Amino acid sequence: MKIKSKKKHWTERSIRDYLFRIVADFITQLETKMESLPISQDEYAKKLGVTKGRVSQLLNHPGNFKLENIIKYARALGMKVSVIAYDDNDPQNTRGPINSEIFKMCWEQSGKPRDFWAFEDINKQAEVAANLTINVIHVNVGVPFYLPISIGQITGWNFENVSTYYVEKTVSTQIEIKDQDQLEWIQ
Amino acid sequence: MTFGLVSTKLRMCPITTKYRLKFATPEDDKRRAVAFLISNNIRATANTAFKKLSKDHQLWLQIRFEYWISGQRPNKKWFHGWNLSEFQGKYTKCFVFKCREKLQYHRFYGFLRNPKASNPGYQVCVLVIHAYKEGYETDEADLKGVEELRTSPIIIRTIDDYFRGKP
Repeated sequence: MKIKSKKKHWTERSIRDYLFRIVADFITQLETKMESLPISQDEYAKKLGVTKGRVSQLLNHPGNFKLENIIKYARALGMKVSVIAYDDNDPQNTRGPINSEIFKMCWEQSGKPRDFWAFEDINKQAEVAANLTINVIHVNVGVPFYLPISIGQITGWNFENVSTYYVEKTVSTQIEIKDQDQLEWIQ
Repeated sequence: MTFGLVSTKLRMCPITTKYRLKFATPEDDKRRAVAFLISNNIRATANTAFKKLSKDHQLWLQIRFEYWISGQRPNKKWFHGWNLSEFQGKYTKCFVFKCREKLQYHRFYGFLRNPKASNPGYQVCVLVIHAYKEGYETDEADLKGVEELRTSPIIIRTIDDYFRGKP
């Protein structure tokens, strides 16, 4: 019996199509950054030392981008570039590439580690957070630690009797232990 | 004589408006899909206009579709809907995907529908109307056109029939 294979993503048609998709993701990141700064296309062109028409042409034709230009265009906005290879358990490419913005968001949510030491530290902090589940915490006073989800969900503790200050802090997923009192309270 | 014959034939064979969906993104996505409404209804222009775009611009739009189905936040430059504060909340089910081809700004208007009874959160964006634009301002006439198609019983039935029984 012939097994029907799953339809491949359009980026599997050619290297150019794949390149188009990943450069389009990159351009989307540039556009988002241009909006957030904000910077006009005129100003951007000046920084790059090219005409506005050239910027527009490149931003509208991802297939024409070269790696040198990717670096140049990112640096002009104060950004950096990494090229990432990954395995997403989709060797046939039926689902297409993962949007580079996803990698950026994950890196930012991990505390933007700059090197492997920072990554190790973050993992240790995560272990600290995990220890909350048994109501034991090992954390240095003054050192922020991060929780992947709200503290209430991790510990199952009832927050009704907790000071307003602390409850407000749990709205975000980042909790900073500022003094010994807080640390003792958590312990 | 010939005119009379043709005229009679036209009266005898009324043209039935037919609709079907053509998917631009995988149908088996758990959350969202984008589809073109294919029809002999001359108002359903989106699919024909999409096919006339250059390959690169088709890809640009395809990528925008994929951004939307992947949950990327709407951006006025790429795709967006209309909220309750706009046009007195009359077009909250309308949606648009945008792309620029040289000096032409394309708009592909559609509407959102949740057609799966077994998965109420599943959303399909059915693209129906294409328009050229010069600025960012929305022409309400385009949205009215989308609304008319969105609320057409035959189109609703076409969509719901397609998804009936699908997980």
